[in-house]
Amino acid sequence: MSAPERRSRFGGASLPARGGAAQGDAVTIAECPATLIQVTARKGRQDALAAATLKELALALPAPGASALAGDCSALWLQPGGWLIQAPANDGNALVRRLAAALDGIAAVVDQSHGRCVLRLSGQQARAVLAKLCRLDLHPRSFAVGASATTLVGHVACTMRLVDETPAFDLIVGASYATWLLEELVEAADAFGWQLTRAGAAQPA
Amino acid sequence: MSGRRLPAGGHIDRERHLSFSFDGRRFFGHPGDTLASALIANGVRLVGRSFKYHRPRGIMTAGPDEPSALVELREGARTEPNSKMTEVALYEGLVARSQNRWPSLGLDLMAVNSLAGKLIGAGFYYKTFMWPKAFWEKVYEPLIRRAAGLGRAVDRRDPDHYEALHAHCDVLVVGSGAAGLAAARAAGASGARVILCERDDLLGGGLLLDPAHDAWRRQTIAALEAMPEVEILPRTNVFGYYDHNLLGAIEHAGDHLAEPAPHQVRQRYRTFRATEVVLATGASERLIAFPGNDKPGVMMAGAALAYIHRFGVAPGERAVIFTNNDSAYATAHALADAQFDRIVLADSRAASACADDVKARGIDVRFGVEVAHYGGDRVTLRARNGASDRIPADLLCVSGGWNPNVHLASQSGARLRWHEQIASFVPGEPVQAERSAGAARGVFGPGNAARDGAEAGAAAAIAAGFKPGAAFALPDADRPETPLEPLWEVRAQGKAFVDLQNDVTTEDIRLAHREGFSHIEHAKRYTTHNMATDQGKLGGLVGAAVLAEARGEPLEKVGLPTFRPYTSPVTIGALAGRAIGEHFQPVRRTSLHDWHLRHGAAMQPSGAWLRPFYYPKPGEDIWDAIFREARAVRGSVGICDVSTLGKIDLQGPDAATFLDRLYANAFSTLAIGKARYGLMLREDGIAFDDGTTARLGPEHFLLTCTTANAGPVLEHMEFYAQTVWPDLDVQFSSVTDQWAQMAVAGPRSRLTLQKVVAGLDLSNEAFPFMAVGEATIAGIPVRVFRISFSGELAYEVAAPSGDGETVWEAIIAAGEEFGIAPYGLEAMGLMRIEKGHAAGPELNGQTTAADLGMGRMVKKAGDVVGRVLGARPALANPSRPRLVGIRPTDPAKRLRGGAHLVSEPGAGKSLGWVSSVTQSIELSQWIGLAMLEDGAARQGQLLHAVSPLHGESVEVIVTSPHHIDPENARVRA
Repeated sequence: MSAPERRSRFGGASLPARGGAAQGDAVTIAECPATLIQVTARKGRQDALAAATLKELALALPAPGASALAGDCSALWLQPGGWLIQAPANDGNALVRRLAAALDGIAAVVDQSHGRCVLRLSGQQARAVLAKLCRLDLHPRSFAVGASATTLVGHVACTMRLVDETPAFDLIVGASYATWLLEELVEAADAFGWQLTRAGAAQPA
Repeated sequence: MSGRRLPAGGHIDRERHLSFSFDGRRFFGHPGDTLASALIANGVRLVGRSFKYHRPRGIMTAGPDEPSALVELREGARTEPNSKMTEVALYEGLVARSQNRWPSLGLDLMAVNSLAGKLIGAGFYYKTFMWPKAFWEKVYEPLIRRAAGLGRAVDRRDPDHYEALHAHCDVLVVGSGAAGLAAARAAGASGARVILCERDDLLGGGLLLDPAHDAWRRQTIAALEAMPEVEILPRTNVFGYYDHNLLGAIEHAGDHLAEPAPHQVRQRYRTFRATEVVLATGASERLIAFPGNDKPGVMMAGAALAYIHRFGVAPGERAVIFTNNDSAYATAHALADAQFDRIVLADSRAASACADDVKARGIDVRFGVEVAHYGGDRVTLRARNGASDRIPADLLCVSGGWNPNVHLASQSGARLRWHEQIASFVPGEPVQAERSAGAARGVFGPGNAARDGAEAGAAAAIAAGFKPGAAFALPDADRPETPLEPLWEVRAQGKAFVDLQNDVTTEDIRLAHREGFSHIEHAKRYTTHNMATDQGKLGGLVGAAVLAEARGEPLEKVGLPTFRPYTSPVTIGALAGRAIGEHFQPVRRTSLHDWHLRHGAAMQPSGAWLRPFYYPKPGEDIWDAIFREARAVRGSVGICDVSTLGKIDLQGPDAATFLDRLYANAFSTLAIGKARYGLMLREDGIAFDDGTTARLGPEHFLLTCTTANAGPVLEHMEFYAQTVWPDLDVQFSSVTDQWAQMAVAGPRSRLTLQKVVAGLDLSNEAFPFMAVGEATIAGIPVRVFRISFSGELAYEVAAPSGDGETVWEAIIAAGEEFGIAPYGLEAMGLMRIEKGHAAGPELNGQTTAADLGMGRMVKKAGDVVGRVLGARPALANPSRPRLVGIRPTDPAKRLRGGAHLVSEPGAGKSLGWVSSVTQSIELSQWIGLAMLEDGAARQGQLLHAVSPLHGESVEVIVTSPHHIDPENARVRA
């Protein structure tokens, strides 16, 4: 029996589909349902974990500050020995079970698909919006496509990744903070205009 | 009326007219004017009254160094006190009022203070209003505040928005004069990311006062605008230089407008993290102290130049220029251009190389003279030989030399160095990655400054890792100057000011020295010299020079007081940005948030979370709702959103060992599929947090902790895993947001869940108290825990949070026939006090396991966090306050949290305190939990709960903390 579709975490934010300045260069904020799996290597098993993820998902686990991409899966560095695997939303449970079996004794596998929320911020002014909420240098010279970081965005912890040169950023935030972050993004984007969408599934570029 | 608009010149738009009002009178100006230039153009001369003596004051400067021309700007909620007219860009409909005058600017009754001036010198208030002490708050302070206040703050909500913006760059250039423009261009040409900040709305600094260099200014700006990695920020004042090359600024994005445009902010708080910084902050002209140097009509020579060339305004008709240096000769030329009737240039030096050019224009140049007095539109000139001359003048231009603006360099940590030729301080060796350029380090003149700036910009780019770019044209080199001769004070009869905004005179400085406040920092605080909003830009060094003379020491040794942020006043609203009101701090919402809202929950902040406190029905008051919800649980079944509990997934071969050390009680003995209550201690032996931990597999646990401590517990675990027991192989992560958790509690909770739970036998035999299992509800995989906080038969169901509402609604549908009620935090609190569970008020950072009645839980053997320090005598003392229950002996009486327990009313010694109170639905009276000395031994005793705050004293009986079901039978039913 397949589970019913998950509900959006933004029902509580009574926001219209668009807003802010009408003449501006509007940004798009999309909620992107995704399967998110946190993997943390057992003591001394980092190499085994890297080999196993390469075998299972064809993903080469990235170094700090980077992300890796293979097909419709991606991996982000989270902490020493720890990564976040991002995969399409459909049938996440099966992927969790598969990884848990493949990584038994190698890594802790924890499903965070409901615990984190992916917001994709895209448009010409996406960097200008983030400059109001986050203190990292997101200039293309220092934060290129594929770069990732965990930092405060709008006062809450986010793992972010530059998906493409639109630019489009994925902001991965604790689900209980998702509405807060959305409201912060909308306020910061007010001068440019904004629109909200719900993407089918996060498509890593 | 002596000021007037000139027929040509200035960076103003003469085609357009703007109307504005000052003190209720309507005037006209042009775009490009400041309020100050527009008022001068309209012949207004008297613009304010001074702080202490209420002396009439005019416009002294053309920038942020203005001490006198302060106004209350705008109206209603947008009212801004103490705005400097010289920095207020004119806009259509501007409204401004003068300050510190009563009843009107022309007739100010407080000016009597000026006559009593001899009596209210420095330190007057300290000396006079000392006693009787009781008078201070009620009499003296209100009196002084009424007499002294400048503008008034507004207590209405600011209708405008502010925001923060964080930027990074390779080279930050502060200031856009000749040095700043050249530095930005040189750095930009290298390909470096450059940000150029200019506090003014036009770029150019001193170049704006020099028509001969306007072409170079425009050409350089155009070149900068064509560089994609150069960002130019006008109206942006850099206010502070902090560690690690972090600088702060305010961008006055909308201050030049009546109201910000829709969706735009009024001001923007900016931070810059720069690899290299070039400080091209220019210099400020300094005052000379002489009697009457504060009168309307006195203006800095550079400001007069600015009014003529920048704004096309003549600030008078007959002028005397008083100088000790060559810079004022440019002012003389400008006054001649502006067709002044008479110009006298009084130079205190013996000669100047600039004199011939000026004399050729018919200007009366006199050497070796000083201004001994100004007043009544007459200047008293005194020659070295004692001869004096009185000259009519409606404008007295003063130049005592130029002080480099070293505020930011000094804040960055660089020590200041005395520069003999300019008689001022310049930045010394850099401490951070910064360099000063141009006038900011004593290199004056557009040609010299531009060369200095270009070198600094190129050097900064190279230091940031770039190769120098192509060279570009610079202004011609400047002519050599005749050296300045320092002149700080002209001694004569009358008040000579060193700080106009705070009304500090040369005599005040000497008084401070006589009374022992001879250090520059002491003299500053004693006299308030340098402490006004202009921060001593005008007369700071003059005051220091007067002090140096009094001390008989060189000025270099006396020095200046410390420079601190902010370089000019900053609106608190700009620093707060968007973080006000509901955006003050992050808000967490559970996945059931919308359901709670749809069902009328009264939501309240609980830490960062918003949680339902109760669900009132029509006609119910708070207690009605709480009692109804609690009765549903005690009598049948209720459901509560407990998703906010901290949840931590713990895995690894050493997970059980880790828990054995982390908690005071053992977990390695816990069977798979069971949960256990755990108590965590801090290293110092005080109780830290509690919760249930379930064993999901041999190497897999799920910890829960209190909502408030979810973050701190994770940090606590990280600390021990990384630093104390790095040998243990454990992995853990927060899964708080992954799971929606709901408590289903009450005698009919089993019947309710049995209707919807699939794949799990919930019978008491198969699934006893503290059992844990997996199941599905409405097709959703869930975890079920048989744990209870209410004291009733109860379960907690955890569902993936995205499916939380589906599961919640399925359980409510199943419980409908039993009258299931959602219950909030208040009913939960009521029931936990009835049951005697310790919570936040008892786990208050002062209590031990034994204090909470959990001493027997602590393992007898093995190392545990908190064991060693928990054995200290004071913590092991058996008569420490212990957790007890209390009830009023008169059931009609209420209890108060925070009340003290005493043996009898009026007894001075507190035996303990009341930590939690509620109205019990089972006992039909107020009950409470308390921490009481020798608590266990006092059960059955009568004490008094006193609350002096409320004037209450209630007789109470000491009981077990477990007001209901002390045998714990219900949870096992």
